Amino acid sequence: MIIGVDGWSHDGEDADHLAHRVREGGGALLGGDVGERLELATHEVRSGRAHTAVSCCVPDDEPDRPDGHGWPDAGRQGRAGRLEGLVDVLHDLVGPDGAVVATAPRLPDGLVRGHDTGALSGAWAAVTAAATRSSGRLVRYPGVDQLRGVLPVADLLDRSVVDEVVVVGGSAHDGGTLVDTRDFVRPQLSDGRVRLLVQPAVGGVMVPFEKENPERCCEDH
Amino acid sequence: MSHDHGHPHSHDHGHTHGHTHDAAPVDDTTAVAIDTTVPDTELSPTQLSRRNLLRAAGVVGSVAAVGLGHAAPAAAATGPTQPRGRNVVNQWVAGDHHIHTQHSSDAIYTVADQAQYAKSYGLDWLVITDHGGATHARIGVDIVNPDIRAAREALPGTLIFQGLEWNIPSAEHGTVFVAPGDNEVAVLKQFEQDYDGGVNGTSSSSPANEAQAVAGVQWLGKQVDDKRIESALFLANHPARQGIDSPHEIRAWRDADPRVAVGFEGAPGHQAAGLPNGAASGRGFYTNAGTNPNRFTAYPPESYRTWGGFDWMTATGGGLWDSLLAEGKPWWISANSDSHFNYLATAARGPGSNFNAEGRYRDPVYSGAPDETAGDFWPGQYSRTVVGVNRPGYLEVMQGLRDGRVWVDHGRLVKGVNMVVRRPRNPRSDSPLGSTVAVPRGTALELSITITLQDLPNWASFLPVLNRVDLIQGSIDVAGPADRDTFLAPDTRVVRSWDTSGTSGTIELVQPLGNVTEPFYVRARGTDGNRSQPGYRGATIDPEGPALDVVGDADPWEDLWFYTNPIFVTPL
Repeated sequence: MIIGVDGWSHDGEDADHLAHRVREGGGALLGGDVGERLELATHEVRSGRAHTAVSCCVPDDEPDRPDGHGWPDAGRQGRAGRLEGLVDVLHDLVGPDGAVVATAPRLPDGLVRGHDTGALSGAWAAVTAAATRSSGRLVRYPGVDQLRGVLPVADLLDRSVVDEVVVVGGSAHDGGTLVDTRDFVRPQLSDGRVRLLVQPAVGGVMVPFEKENPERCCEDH
Repeated sequence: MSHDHGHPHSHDHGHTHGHTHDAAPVDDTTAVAIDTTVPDTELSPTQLSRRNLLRAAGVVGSVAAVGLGHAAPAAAATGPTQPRGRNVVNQWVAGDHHIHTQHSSDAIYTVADQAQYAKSYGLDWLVITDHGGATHARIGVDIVNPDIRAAREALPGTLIFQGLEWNIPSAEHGTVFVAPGDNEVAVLKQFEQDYDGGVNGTSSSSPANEAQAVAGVQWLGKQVDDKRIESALFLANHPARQGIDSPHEIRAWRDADPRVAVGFEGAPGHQAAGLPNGAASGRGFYTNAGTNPNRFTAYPPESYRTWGGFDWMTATGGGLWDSLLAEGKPWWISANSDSHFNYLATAARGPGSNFNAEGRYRDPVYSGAPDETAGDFWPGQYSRTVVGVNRPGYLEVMQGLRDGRVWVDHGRLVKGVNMVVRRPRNPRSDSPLGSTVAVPRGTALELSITITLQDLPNWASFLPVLNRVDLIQGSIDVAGPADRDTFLAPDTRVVRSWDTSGTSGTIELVQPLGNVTEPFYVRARGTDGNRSQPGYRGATIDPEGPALDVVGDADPWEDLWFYTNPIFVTPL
């Protein structure tokens, strides 16, 4: 199941904060370790006033669930009720101007909360981009907690969903090239693949292209 | 590709260039049509038709018709200070059009402080450009003016313009400034109130906001037409920093009023920001990763970093800037400080400040310790925009910027650059930077770059060395690209490089341009040669371009470049 959450975040960094709150809310409601296994991403919304929305993929790997949609305490009514509850919680999170949509195979029309057409289209766009991995940047994803400290590229690929590492500016690299993750790794989704952009840094290592807390110098006047 | 390393010819170069044009085989209609001192209204229908053809052919602004003097008698009677003589470069004046003061919410210094540093560091002109915004539009734009007028009095010989840093609707920032006069504040204030993206909430990308930007440029032009001000200019600042200045927006500004919208920063300010033992950020504070949803999505990740200190749009051989020049239309580059807080300065914000209430911070006080993490240089300390004028003056500097008689450098890499296109071995036919050389088809031309090498230390106390000069050439298609969002020039590339190591004094680099049959442009750049890599478009186009600046490890003093603006050549 994929949930799209649009809280009118400006850019990726702002949307990170929303993504973490979605994860906390979803994890608490769903129980177990589901919160740890949620995949969260941010997505640019370019129709209307440009902003950034969040997607949340709930794992579909509960083996004892006949419907396979990962909802604990199943029973159709329980699952649906829990889903409604989650969507309501997330809608409270983003407020009346925001929107939340949830889709799953057995919910052909999805669950929809919100009235603002810009936010609704943003939430739907986030769901679509996450489902196809066509665009966006991953915030939480399988293996993210293993991407800490300095790692060779080969280990980085082994430990996470990252499909490839791309060096901005075209410097050569191989599996042994060291990446100082700085404990902040935001791979990008495009064309169905997960790419991590890196750039040269002090000391001959690579660092992720996106840094935590970038300068906002003079950007918001 | 051709990539020979020729040897420059060294010689003393003391003479000034003459500008009496030779007679040439051009028909009278063309001669009159090309004479920009004759207004449209005084042309015959045939002459006007010819002029419009020439305009359509990209023969722009400061047309220099090599060898037309005899056929344009009006020109012969005018001296070098007359309009016909505006191409005559008697002097190069260095300046900076992007400087903040205590009237910006993220800056600190007084106008006098910036101005006297600018003068001390060798600048002849500067533009005060505090951020547009609600407080500035309400208070700052007014109260900065007496400070600017006082600085003009205190520093005679230094030209100090009032401008502002415009939040361009739907886009980045830009310098807007006007010629001094009775209405300088009134025009800037009304412009800011009506067209600033921050004041009006029009900063996000949308067609309606893009139209606001175009309307703003046109409004400035109208103030000149209405004689409220004598001159107004707009140049876009740090254009690639956030990826939100799309190619079609830049083209739209340019076409909105080419008298006003004349270029962008080839190199952004904040050049100290990459110092490894300083701010250790990105050079130019270019550290974005393209997460602004207003961005132009086709810009690659490489566009969000500087290359050899220059913005990717300019640093890329065959890139966005070249794609604009390949249309044969003027679009010029500059290099500025963007001074807010300067590296190793010893100032602290004035105590008791209330920016929103007072429209500025109180005058700074002594901080007691150098600021080691500030990312900026003082005006003139590192970056300069050098403009050719026939005599110093406010209008002359603005006209020089408008005409593209401009080269820029970092760290005072060179002392002087004079690039001209001329008939072979005929210095009297020199046509300067920014000009369009219109000659009969088949005329033989050559390019000459006279470079006065640096003989004084720069402001980091060492003598910079010019080790290589590259010549970049591209063809012109006046029809322009089908896609207004293109950022690639079809066939622009580095056509020649000169090894200039070991030279001193004045050198002249000469490149034959052949017999002109198709329109093209040429531009040059030079470097200390410390850092290079194949350009974004590959080694066949730019084998030794500027290198991607490393975030946190970009010492600007160890990577110096100069860039010239282009000269256009078009057969008649």
